[in-house]
Amino acid sequence: MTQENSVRLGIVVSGSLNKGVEVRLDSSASVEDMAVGRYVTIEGQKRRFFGMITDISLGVIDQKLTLTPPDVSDPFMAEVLAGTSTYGTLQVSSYLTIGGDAASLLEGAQPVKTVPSHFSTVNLASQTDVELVFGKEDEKKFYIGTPLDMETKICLDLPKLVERSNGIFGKSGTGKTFLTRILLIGMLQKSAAVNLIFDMHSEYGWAGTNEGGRTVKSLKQLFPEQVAVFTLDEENSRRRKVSTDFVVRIGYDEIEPEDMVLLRATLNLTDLAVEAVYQLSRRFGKNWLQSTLDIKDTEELPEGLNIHESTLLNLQRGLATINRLPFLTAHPLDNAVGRILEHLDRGINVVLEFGRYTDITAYILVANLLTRRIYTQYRERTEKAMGENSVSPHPPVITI
Amino acid sequence: MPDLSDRVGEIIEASTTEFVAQCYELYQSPPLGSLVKTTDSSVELYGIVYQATTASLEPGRRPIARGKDEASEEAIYRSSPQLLKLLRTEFSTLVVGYREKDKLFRYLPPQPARIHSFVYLCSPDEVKEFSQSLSFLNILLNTHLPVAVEELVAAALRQMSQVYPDPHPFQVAAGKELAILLGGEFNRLKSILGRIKP
Repeated sequence: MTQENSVRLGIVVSGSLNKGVEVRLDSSASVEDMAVGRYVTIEGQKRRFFGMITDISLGVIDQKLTLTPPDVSDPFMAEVLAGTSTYGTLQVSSYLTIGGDAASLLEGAQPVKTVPSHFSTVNLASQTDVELVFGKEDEKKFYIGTPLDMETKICLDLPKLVERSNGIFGKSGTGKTFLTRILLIGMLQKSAAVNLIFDMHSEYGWAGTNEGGRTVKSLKQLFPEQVAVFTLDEENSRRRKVSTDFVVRIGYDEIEPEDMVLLRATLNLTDLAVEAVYQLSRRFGKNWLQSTLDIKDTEELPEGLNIHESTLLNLQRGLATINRLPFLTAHPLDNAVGRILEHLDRGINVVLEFGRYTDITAYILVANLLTRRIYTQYRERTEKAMGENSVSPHPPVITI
Repeated sequence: MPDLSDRVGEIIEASTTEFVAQCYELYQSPPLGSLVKTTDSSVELYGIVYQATTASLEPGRRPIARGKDEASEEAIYRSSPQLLKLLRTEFSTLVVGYREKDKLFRYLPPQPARIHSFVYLCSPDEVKEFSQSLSFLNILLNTHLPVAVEELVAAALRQMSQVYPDPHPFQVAAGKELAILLGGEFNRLKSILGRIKP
């Protein structure tokens, strides 16, 4: 099962299924040519493994080499030592296996359940290997990019992707936002799901910037029909000359005790204060937030409420922080939460821009408020659809 | 049959691991580290010269200084021509492989060489063939000899690399083999490498 035109990197010397295998580089393969994230294949005796380089390190046979380094200005010495006394090692995580026989070839790649045997050859994955694993672009599969130093298109099965929770991680400047934008565009193109995007830095709605500071088009410009931009900060959007579809104002009565539970750490509330919120909300009803803020003294507390003075003060301090958020009003003109849900229901993607309100309190409050309601609604609909055997609603994707 | 001009001596002492040969001409021993061979019926033995000595024919009779009244060193030999017959040059060789039925083995032969077998210097083609595999280095590194092993290994590799038009790939390959064999002994490796390619 050797692949032609594949580049040999080295051999497997140790490893485990959990931690990945260690590969010793051949002296012909320079450690500087390697890159974390590259795909490799490992030719085991019975099957081939498909994996990715996760770490690269240097090793020496004799510790004396590190204490009294050789004279590397002598090219002969350097050439002899490379790959023998000094060597590079790769950490490879294997993800998939491709069986050796024809039946398993048809089946395609399977999750990895073991490690390759000792001294199996490790090659750089060829175009054919990558295609075998990721498949070709089609109705469901979306082309998100190419692996490092390769021309092969990597395609993601988006309907499958949106079924799961995904995270995009990376160091700053590695392109997390860019990748997110590409994925969102993909979801829109393949209509895999309807998105609600909490756009903390206002970069997914109208326009974003790349590393060099150049402006790039975002969702609303690319798919004006399918995207609605909501904003919490109208002024900010106007200054940026971004057309928004809706200005979000959240009424005090829309904040529920459950929303406060999640803000506990951010607002520095005590357990008792959180408990008090439930009591107050039971007593005052929807308008509990305003009513609580209006209480001047514990003596003004209604009969039957057992709240200590310090607890009340702690709670009021926390509520005051929320109260200061400009997008919260006592009497909003429109029901923003309802509007967002309505858009999503029609299959229109919503980008919610935070504008200047990028502090964590605003973010957690708004994100939780909306997410919980959407989730409840979606669950109700799905359950109903299951009962009536009708079409399930568009799966919503929440991007934060 | 090897060329007569390549004949460098005749075996006067032999064991499984080494043999000693006497040169036909005084001071005409093959260079340190050179590959020599001797034929023993169907088997050809290969060895690497590790030491050469010149001494009096009779062990109890040491040479005396004769140059007090002579103008040059050559003049001593001219005025005492018998010296050339009273002294002899010997060289010791470590057996590193043998050839039997056209097959080359780079390990010790089943039988030692026979006394009075002729010793020949190997031709460049033979050296090239023998140095295709460097497994003989292991024998050199693991033998106790009166000369320093590092010196011998370096000399042998210097001699062998001379037969290659471009010696660099051979030297690097040999260096890598040594690096593996010497493993944790970096200082020994360094001293050999420094002697292979000064």
